[in-house]
Amino acid sequence: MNAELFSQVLGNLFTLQTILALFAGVVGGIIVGSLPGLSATMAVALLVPVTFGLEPVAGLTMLAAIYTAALYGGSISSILIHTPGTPASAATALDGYQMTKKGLGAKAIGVSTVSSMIGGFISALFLLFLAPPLAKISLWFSSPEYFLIAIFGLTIIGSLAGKSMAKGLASGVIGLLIGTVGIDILTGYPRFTFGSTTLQGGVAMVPAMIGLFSLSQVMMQREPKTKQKKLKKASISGRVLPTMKEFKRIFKTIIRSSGIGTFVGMLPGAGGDIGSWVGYNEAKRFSKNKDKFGTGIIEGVAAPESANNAVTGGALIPLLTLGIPGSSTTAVLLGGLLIQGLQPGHQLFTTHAGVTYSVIFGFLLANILMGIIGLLGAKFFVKASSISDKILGPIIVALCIVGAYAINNNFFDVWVMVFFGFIGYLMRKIGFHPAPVILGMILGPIAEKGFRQSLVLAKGDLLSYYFTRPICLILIILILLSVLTPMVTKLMKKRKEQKMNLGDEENLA
Amino acid sequence: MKTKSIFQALIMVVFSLVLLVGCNGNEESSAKNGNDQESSGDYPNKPINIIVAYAAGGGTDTGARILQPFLEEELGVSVNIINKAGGGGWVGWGELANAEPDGYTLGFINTPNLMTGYLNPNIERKENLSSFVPLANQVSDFGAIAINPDDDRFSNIKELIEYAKTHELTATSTGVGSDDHYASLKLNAKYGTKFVPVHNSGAADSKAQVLGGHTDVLFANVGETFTAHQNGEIKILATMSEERSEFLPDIPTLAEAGYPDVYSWSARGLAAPSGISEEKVEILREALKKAITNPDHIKKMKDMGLAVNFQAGQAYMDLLKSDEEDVKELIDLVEW
Amino acid sequence: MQRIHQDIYVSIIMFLVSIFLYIQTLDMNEDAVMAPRYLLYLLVFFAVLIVIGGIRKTKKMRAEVGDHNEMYDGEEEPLTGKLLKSPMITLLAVIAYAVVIKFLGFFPATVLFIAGFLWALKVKDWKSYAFTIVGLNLFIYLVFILQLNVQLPKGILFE
Repeated sequence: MNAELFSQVLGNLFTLQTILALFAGVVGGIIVGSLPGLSATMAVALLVPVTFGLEPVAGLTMLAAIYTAALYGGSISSILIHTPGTPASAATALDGYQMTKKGLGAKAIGVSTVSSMIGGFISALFLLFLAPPLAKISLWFSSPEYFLIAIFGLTIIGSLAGKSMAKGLASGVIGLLIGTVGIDILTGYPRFTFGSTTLQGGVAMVPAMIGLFSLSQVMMQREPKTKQKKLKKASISGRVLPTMKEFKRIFKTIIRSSGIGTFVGMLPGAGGDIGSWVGYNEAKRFSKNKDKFGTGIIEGVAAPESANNAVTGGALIPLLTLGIPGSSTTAVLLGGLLIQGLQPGHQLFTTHAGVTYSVIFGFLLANILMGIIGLLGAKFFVKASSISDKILGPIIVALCIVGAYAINNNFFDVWVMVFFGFIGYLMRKIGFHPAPVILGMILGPIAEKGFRQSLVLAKGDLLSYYFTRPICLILIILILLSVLTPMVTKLMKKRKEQKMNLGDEENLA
Repeated sequence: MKTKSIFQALIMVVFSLVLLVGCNGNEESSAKNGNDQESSGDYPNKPINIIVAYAAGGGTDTGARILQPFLEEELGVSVNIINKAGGGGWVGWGELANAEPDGYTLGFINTPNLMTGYLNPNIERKENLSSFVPLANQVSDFGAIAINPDDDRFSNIKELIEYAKTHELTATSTGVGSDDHYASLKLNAKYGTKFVPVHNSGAADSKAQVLGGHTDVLFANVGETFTAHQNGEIKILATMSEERSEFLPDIPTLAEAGYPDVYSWSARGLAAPSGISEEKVEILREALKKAITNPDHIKKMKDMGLAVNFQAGQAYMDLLKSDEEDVKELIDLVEW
Repeated sequence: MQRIHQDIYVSIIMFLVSIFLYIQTLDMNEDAVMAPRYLLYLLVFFAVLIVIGGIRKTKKMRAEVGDHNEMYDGEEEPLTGKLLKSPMITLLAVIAYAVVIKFLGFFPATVLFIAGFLWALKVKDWKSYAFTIVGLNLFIYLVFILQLNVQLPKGILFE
């Protein structure tokens, strides 16, 4: 990028309209994201017509800002009240809510804010410097690769399961089964719809998630309180910003997750919901204290949060270069681009370079602004959520209902939410976990479609089709590694313990 | 004390929303100004809801939202777009069919998806075309056949079809019974080609598969492909329309290339539930005609790559009927 | 005392659900049915594992060996009437709330629900009622209705 273009970009960005749009986008995005049932996709879709009237740079910057801020906003409610605002922040609830329970809510928000900001920022850098070559790579992925990515994602269930592996895996299978509900797009055949028109489109993801996580939580809070179960109030005076030492601890995780997120976002068939889980799992895999995950450690918040915000920049890469959206929100953004007369492709980086680079810089700024607003607001969010759960309970229920309804304007989804609240509560009480259910619902359809499509594409010879595709081979190796490594380390640990025991005995003797 | 702080939180939130509303304001005011004057008779005198059977941001939704201000201007009342997604469109269409036929609930219907939905033998649906009163067609998006430009097996439509007669080629589709699926089925039936459908959930996935060289032939609509064609990322070989597309004046139609029996399009327009009074239908058709044929509306749609095709009354009904016939004709070819 | 670990009941329910869903798959198209069927086989497999674990835990429980808490992991607890009473009442209240929305519309129902919920939990301070009810309704109205143009249910009585 030359100096002339750069000054043009600065001129475009620092106008009153753009700055206001940027600010409104970030604040609006955080609010929309933190409310269950209001998704980034919906907010962007509803604001696209508004951007008709704005300058292209201002309008598009606002949309990009909403996108990244909404993914961040989802973590706030996920951490503080166990209500993921978006499916992409479901993974954050695992450790985030545990931190809140320990009285570290403010710290969790701080970590999430810093991670989201860095994740978004790094993905924006990728978008700025490497968009065209990365877009080419994203095209190497097709049905067989998506199938394997989904399988890779499902291996996460193994690490989410608690003591009982059977229950953890069964939770995943239940999620996968729920994912098969609806009209099968490959045959047009309805599966498990029980005569309901709404179910023909499948079980709506967001209402199910709200039920599993939030309503079940409200129900749990009404249990008779025994002494050991009493929770500490989220501490208000707690420090928001992670200390230097903590930051060093999570730095690697953030960088790794940002890379993963950008990459997953880049793939047209996978979005933030998958990115955050993969980020979480990889953080756990590389961590020295794996057992602490799920008990409320900062890595468990940093990993999914930096990954889901990194997805935003990643998803914009194929959108801007090829016109292929990398996620559902960017599909809507495509409309926003076209309305401004900007057609994705080379011209965006040549003829319209001024506008394009201004928007990318605006997106960079949006991530920073989001970080600042998040840090300033952190104490405030914690305060708001630390009111007595007697009062918080009905508020959450009302938001659950309104969120479940608003996602499709369909009252049936409210019943779906209530049903999953009931199921989710019982599952939690009998040692099943809601997270693998969500994971199965997200990944199941991708895996099934990928597999059955590759049956068609392979033209009969499935095995050689998979094994002649280099990326498939890499993914197969990754899957094997992720399944086998825990087993091997377990074995090694056992041996070591045996040896130590032997040593002890020798000492005794 | 604690309730106080949540109240403070709310005030903050409200404040920031005001900012957003500020951006929204100019757009809404146009609708409200029109409220005072009334059209002939009493109808319409309150906001009209238009059901879009797909999620916000999809093609149908975008078209609806572009039309919205023009329609508000003509009708003099505000028009709300309500997305009722799910069930392949049937959550919204079912609701439209069963809505009060008072003229205040309208909806977009899409062909051939609507017909496929009620003709699918696996789902016993009670609704059919007669559950709706078609008002006016907004857009017709014709089918296009495209390939990856690096493909050296064929470079024009004739070579492609001839090649496909002797070789199996994978062809993209956006689901069983979609217009893209029917297009390749029709070619198979009429010319003995061996296209094997690969069903995706949307045109974007289809495009990515052909760009990456994973699927052989792209069956999609002009509106979904012409940008990529202009960028040289894919190569459109033919359109499945009666006349050449205004977006692609250099690309022959299938008929011109010597395959005159296959046409394919997806059309969307507005409909009311059956039982609506004839006077209201007239008022709506008149307003829709003015709104849809408004040059600004046509231009905005064109920027999105969508060709406006206004049809009303009998012409629109004929269009829908012919789509229904097409679907019926092919129903046995589909492996439901 | 013949106590049985609840995992055994859990796996019985899993078997029953699997059989019920399997019956649903009988008249499905061959291609469409592949994935659900294999998943059901898997579910039954895990149900078997859980029943085995349950039997083991039952034996342990009857032998009264070790700490009982070991039998339950994390949030898991033996389901008792005492434990479930309040959560289930909450669930019923939520269902009632949803039904009332259908009749009265979203906002009136929300007022009733919040007031009822707070009253049932013996909140006495009138300010809590006022702030929660007014604040929440106002917030939802501003965000959903004014800003996002979502049409919340009006209720059949007002239509």
